[in-house]
Amino acid sequence: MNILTSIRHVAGATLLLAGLAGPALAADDLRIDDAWKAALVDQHGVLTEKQHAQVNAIAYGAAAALLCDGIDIDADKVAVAVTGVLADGPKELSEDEELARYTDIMLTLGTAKGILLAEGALHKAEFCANAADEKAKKPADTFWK
Amino acid sequence: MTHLGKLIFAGFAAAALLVAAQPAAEAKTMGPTAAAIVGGVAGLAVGAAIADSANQKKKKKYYYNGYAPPYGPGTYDPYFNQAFSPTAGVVCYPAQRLCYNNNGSVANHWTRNVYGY
Repeated sequence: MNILTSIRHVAGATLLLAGLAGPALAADDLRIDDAWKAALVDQHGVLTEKQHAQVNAIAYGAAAALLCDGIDIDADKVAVAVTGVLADGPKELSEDEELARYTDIMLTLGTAKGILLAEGALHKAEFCANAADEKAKKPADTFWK
Repeated sequence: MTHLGKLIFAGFAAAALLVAAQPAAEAKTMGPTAAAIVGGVAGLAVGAAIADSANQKKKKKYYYNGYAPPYGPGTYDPYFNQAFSPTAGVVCYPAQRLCYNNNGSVANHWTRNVYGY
């Protein structure tokens, strides 16, 4: 393979990768990537994947309830979910570790809520329209009344 | 769980509800016991957690069995930048455990579908 052919192959591969990655990454340019990146770098390893997603969903529910008319948090649903996440931790922790874990989880929840509030406020119309749609179509998936 | 653990648990659960669900004015109705827990013991823990998170060279986390981060040392950036689309118009970020719609809004239903909570 000569140099020109190699360059063509590399360029083709680059375009292919750009084509594959482009739609997914460009689709969401409203996410505050750097905030999430900084917030999460030290948090992996505290929650399971499922727990972390659930904490995000609670944070999203809280953010939407603050920003959007007609969206109200369901405190009972939140209580059950938060208690479930807090209680479902490793069994071998000392009291200090247990307290540190609870603290990390609550900080993760608060941080996620804050970033989602910022994202929602930056494009409130879409954020709230989407929340209303989620509430109407999949109420069981939400933490709203 | 120990007695202290239960107290702290209750305090944090109460705090979670207050933070997540109640208007600020209603937070003033927190009872003296809950306030003492949240403001005292928990305050120390929050301070330590914030200090630790601000000092990223100090590795302190709980990599329990089954909880280990799914990336190796020094590979957080490529892990964070991963994304996939479970269906047209939805993008999920594994590092964030959250999915978004194309218009930038959170795809709550798909987050639940993908991560199974």
